[in-house]
Amino acid sequence: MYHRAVSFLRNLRLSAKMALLVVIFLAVFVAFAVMMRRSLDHLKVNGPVYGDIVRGKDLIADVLPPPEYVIESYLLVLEMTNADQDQLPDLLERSARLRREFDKRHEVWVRVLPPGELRDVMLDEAYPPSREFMEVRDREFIPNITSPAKRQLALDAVPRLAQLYETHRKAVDRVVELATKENLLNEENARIDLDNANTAMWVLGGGVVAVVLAMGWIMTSIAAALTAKLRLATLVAEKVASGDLTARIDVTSDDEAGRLLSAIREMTSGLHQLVTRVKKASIDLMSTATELAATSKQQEGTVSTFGAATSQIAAAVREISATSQELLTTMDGVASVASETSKLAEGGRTGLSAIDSTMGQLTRASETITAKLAVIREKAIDINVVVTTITKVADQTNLLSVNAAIEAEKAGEYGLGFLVLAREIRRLADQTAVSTLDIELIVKEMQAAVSTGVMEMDKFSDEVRQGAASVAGIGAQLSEIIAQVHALSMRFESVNDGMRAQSQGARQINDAMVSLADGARQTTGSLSEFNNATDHLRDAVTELKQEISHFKVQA
Amino acid sequence: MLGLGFQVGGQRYALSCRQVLEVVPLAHVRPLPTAPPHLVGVMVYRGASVPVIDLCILLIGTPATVRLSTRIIVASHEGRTLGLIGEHVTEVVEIDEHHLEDPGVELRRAPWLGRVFRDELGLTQLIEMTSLTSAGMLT
Repeated sequence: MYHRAVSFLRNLRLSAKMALLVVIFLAVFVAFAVMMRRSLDHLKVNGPVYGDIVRGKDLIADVLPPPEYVIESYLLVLEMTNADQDQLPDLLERSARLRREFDKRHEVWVRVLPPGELRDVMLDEAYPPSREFMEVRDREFIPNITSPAKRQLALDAVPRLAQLYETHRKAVDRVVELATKENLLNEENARIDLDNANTAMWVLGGGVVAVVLAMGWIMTSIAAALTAKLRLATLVAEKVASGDLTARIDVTSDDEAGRLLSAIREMTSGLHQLVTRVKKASIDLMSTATELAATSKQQEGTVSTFGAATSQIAAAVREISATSQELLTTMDGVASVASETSKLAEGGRTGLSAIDSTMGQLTRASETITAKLAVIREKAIDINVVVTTITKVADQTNLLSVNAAIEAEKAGEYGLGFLVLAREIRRLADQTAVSTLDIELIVKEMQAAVSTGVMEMDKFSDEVRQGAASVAGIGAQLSEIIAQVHALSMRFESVNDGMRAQSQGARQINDAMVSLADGARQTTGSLSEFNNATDHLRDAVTELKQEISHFKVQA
Repeated sequence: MLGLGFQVGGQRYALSCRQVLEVVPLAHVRPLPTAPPHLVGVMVYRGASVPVIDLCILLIGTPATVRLSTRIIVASHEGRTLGLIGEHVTEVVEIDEHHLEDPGVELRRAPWLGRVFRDELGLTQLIEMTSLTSAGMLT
């Protein structure tokens, strides 16, 4: 059901959719206006609802004694003047309640009445006498009426109360009159307001309907314009489909339809250009085919010339072959010279290797000498130790002899011989000390000499080592020379090979030239076949031209 | 009379052999804190502690060079024993007492320098133990 409704809406034309929308809106709006009108009629002043409420209020006002009007209090005073003592409490209680209600209502009216004549009459004319009535009643009448002794005083106050009540009643009559007048005025105002509201509603309703109708008219006209442009586009597309590309499209607007039309115009012009180009290309193709045919004729002539040229080339090639043979002989001479150089370098290298081994022996010998010198140094250190020991012994001996001499001196005459002995011992010790000092000096000199020798030997070893390194360097250079000479002879070899290959190649070229001449003859046959193919091409181009002429294009 | 010869700073000096107990090699000398520089310490000699004076410091202000010939002369005077460090303590010399001469000066700060005598090597001066053992030297 829902799908059917949707498809119905989709298939409806644009103007019909617009009309449907306007009708629905108007219907809803009229329904809303009728509803509003009915509610206003129902609720207006003097309408049915208003009448119900006012009737209720009137009923209460008619039935209840009005608290602001002191008539009931006055009646109670009159009743009390005739009542028995036992009826008084009930009456007094009612009087007090009426006073309370009177005060309460008065406060309400003071608060709610708006400033105006009614408020003045109510508060300044009607209220003062009623209030004084209440004061006189509570001060002079009620205290006296309860005791039989003072009853007469109470009765004296009644005429004054009657007078106050009368004044009050007259004022209240005026209040009633004024209030009635004001009510009538209010009702009249309400009626006028309602009439004004009704008129405004009619005017607004009319305005809304007019706007909606105008909108409907504008939308319908837009839809009509759109439809017209679409129809134009359809017409152009149909023309293009039938091959007519000359149709002109005028685009007057920039809306969606205008853009569609301009796109179609661009498409048509693009197609137009394409077809024009294809036509031009087919004409070019035609001329090319004609040229091709002419060229192939020329080529036939060229091929026969080519046959003569090949036999000339063959003669030249034979000459080349002879020359390369001569070159080959020369290269052989050069190679023999190179191999002699190589042999000489080899001899140099052998000599150098002999020097190298001699150098090695020299290095080893110098190392041996250095080792021996180190042994000598160690021995010298050993000698030093022995010398130190001897020195210590000599020192001890000297010390002993000194002490012996001192002891001998102390012994006096008896020690004289001993003193001589001690002196002799000391002399020997001193000689020993001097000798050891000499030995020490000699050893020191020897050590210095050994150290110098070691240093010299080290220097010599270094030099030998450097010499060996230089010899090795020279050997390496010689080796390099030999290798280069070898490489050179190898290159000579390859040159020789190249020469041989060249002479062989010349022969092959000769053969190739012969076969080329054969090929030229065959080419002449192929060219006539090519001529046939060119004719076919020309036919095909003619057909293409016919096909293209279906499209109408401006010249 | 026989004297024990030695050197201080290259100059020759001698000590009467009657006052010398013994010549001993340089032994361990224990330093004494707060002592004057020439009093280099105390040593043990025959079971008793003996104060040691470096004659080189006393005479020329530099310590004695350590050599085998640098030795300690143990001497005593009136029961007081001293160790004296001197260089080249290797000789005893014969001194003719009649040829001892007064040097002609009396240095108040060096009362231990005594008379001098001559031999083939030059002048040799005697050291007086009397002044060395006085209380002022060892405080």
